[in-house]
Amino acid sequence: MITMKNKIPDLLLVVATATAALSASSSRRPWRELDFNAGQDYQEFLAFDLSLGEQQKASEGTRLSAELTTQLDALGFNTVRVRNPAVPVVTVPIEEAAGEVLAEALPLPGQTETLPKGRLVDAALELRATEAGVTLTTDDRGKLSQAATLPKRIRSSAFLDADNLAELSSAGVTEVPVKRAAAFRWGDWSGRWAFLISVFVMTCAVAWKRKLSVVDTAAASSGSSLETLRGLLAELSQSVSSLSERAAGMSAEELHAEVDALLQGPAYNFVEGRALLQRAAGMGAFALVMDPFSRGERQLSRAWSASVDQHEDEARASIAKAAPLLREASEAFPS
Amino acid sequence: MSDSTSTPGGPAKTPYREITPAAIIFGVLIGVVMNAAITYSGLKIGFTIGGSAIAAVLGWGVLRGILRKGTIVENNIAQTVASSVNTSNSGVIFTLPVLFLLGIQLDLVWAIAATTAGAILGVAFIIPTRKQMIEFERLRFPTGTAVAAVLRSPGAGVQKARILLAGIAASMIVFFFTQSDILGLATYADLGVTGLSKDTLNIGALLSSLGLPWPRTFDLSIAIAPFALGAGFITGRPGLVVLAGGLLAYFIVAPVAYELSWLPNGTEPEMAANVARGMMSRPLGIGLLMGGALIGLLHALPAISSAMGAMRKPTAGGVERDELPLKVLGGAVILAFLLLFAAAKSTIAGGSVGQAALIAAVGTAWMWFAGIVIAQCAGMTDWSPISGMALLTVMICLLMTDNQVVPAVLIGAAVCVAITECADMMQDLKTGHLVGGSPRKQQTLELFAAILGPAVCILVVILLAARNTQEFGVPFGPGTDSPAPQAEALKGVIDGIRGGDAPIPLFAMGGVMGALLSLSGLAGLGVLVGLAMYLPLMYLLPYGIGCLIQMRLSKKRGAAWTENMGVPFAAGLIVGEGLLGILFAGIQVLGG
Repeated sequence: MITMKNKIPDLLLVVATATAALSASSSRRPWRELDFNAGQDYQEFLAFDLSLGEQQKASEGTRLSAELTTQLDALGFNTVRVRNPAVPVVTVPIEEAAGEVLAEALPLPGQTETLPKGRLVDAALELRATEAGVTLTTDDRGKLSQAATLPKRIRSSAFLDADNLAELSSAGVTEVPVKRAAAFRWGDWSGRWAFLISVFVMTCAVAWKRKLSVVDTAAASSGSSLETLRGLLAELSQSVSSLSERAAGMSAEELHAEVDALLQGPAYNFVEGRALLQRAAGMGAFALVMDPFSRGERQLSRAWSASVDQHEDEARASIAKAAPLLREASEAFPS
Repeated sequence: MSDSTSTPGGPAKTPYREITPAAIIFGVLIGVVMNAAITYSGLKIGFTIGGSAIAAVLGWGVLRGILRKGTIVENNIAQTVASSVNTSNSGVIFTLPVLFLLGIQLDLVWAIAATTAGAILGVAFIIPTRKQMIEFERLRFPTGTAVAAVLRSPGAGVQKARILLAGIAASMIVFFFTQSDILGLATYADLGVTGLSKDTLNIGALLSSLGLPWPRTFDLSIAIAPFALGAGFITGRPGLVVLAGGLLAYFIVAPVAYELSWLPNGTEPEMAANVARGMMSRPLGIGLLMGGALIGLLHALPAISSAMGAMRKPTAGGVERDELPLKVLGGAVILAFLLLFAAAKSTIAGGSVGQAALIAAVGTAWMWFAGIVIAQCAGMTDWSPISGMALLTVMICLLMTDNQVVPAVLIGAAVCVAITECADMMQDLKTGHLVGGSPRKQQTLELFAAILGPAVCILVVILLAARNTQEFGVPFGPGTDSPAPQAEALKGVIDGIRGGDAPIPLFAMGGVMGALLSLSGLAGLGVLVGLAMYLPLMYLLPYGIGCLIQMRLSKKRGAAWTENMGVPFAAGLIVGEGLLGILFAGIQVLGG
């Protein structure tokens, strides 16, 4: 029963995260819902085909005219999905195009560019050549077998900075098609309430989980787990001190065997159980233990490596450095 | 430069080799070669390969095999230097080629200055977090753990060494047929199995071909990536969250978005997962990452502050400091800031000193935060969302420079190099912790070696651009054999941002969710879910399978058995794919 109760905040968190992700994603959809008034004319365009009866339909992209809103109202509609943005591409005079982004590639009348022999021919280039009425000859690796001349153009999505605009002006271009992006409007986002509710549920689930975690920690701290951890650290500290005293007469192989057993035994087990110490004693006390412990553990690892390399002196020196560090960690363990 | 050691009884007979000329020269040489090869192949295929494992394996061959001198910690220094020189390539090739794609001339001097500044800052900024991530949180850093397994193999016993070699062999055999077309040989695609391409198995397509029902919007593809399986195994249970996040993005968000017509008209059901990922899950995932990391950072502040305090204290009794002193790091930060400032001032058209200083300051602060995010991601899962960070950085810089691309991309490149160095530094320090290396010595060398990387990489980019321009008429992108896919993607993002289509609300919503998840008491939950929503599911699946295998074995055979027997095999899987990856990159370079 207690386990089931503990799972509820987890379940809430999972469900609320999924609904929050979904409602957030809905803010990127390329349409919005519009509440229209019958007989009113809108500069908005249908996002989807709409059936207006058995034989009639309004196609995607149809403008929401007064006639259409009247017709829709008669059919019982009062909301319709319209494109967002309403017009993704607009044509503007070149004098007003600074800082805009070209919606499509734009040829520069009278100007050409030469593509060298050897250039790879991809589908986009083939299309461009076809549109220009140029035939490209390629070799068996799909590269141009001879240079080709095509009308010069400014690429689609080019940013219209001073250089591009000067080039367009000098080529006699007077107006350009530019992109319009959908602006995010809080009021237009129908998923906002679902998102806010999901975030609220996530907050409640997090608070609940943290409360349960405090209860768990109190239970674990009062039990034997923390004592086990303390015992492991004390055992490690005593073993390393003892090894340090005996190390002078030991061979590299003997040192290696003992250090390996310590690293894989008490040191490994202490590391595995460290989260309990952090939860029970807090980050400050945890750091006071883990800092000297980790330094001591690293010296033991160095002793391990040095013994493998048949460098007994370094192994002994490293064990000697590890001993006081592990003692310090053991003494710092909260009582 | 060799160390002197002392024993309680008197001076050592011979010094224990750690920093040696042989290790440094070997590290620099192998790092430069790997950097050039991986830069070249990265511009072709769009992703890069880490160099630590390869350097560690080669280090054994050269330092121990040929020179007959190498120790475990000396080889650790060699791999630290090599990976530090190599690692900057992803930061450079994900960003700078976008200038070529936009038809903008790359200024070599400022490009090198900005990325070098990034390399220095990346190393300097991450050092104070070593204690928190490696010693307190004990993040797994799977590649760092795998490299340590390689370095420790001579002393780990014959059985473990055999398991490691078996893992390497298995990984190489499995991975070989994903790339064998480079040698003109058959790949998995030639088996003619429905859904099986050269490096991916589309399970949905396979099931459908067998007459079993499978929704068309559910993209269940799995990459043939032994590396991901190994990384998942080493991560274990915490990695399962990554799988859950991937399932949320691919099996909940994408199908719902398709069914409710949230995707652009004409989107095919099979493409729904990819389109939804680009439009929704990726920006949301980046937001989750940032929010989750911010809370993680706030949690870690006491430990970081304690580490910085320790770095300020003088040493006592001949005990070596753990980290480089704070004044060295402070000096590095000031130097790097000045480089960034100079790069910004020189590239902003009509920019004031104040504007350049602001950009350099924001860039520097952002590097610190993004570096911690990336290091956390690498520590928890082995993945670093570098392209996501590049996107965010360029977006911020574009907003600050009134849409000027050159300074935005330069600062973006600096940040990307910085964060790759952060991740690499922490992987190397993890290895160092496991083999008993001196963190301070690793940090010193990484700081110097990191400076070399960007110059090597940028030089390769410029040479390749010049060759491509001569041969194909354009430096990179469509029409050349160096499509630079990551830079092409960044170009799309820049175009979108300049056109006013930046998904800022999704970043913000993700940030709120990530912060809440990380407050739940499960360490790094927001970061893990965010990373999962950002990455393609095809790589998360083998990773998740690795986590499940580890959990199953731990339950059946015990944690110690899994650590002793399973981790060396998993390490072999990571190393094997890396070795073969660099081999194929070399073949591509030689083959032109």
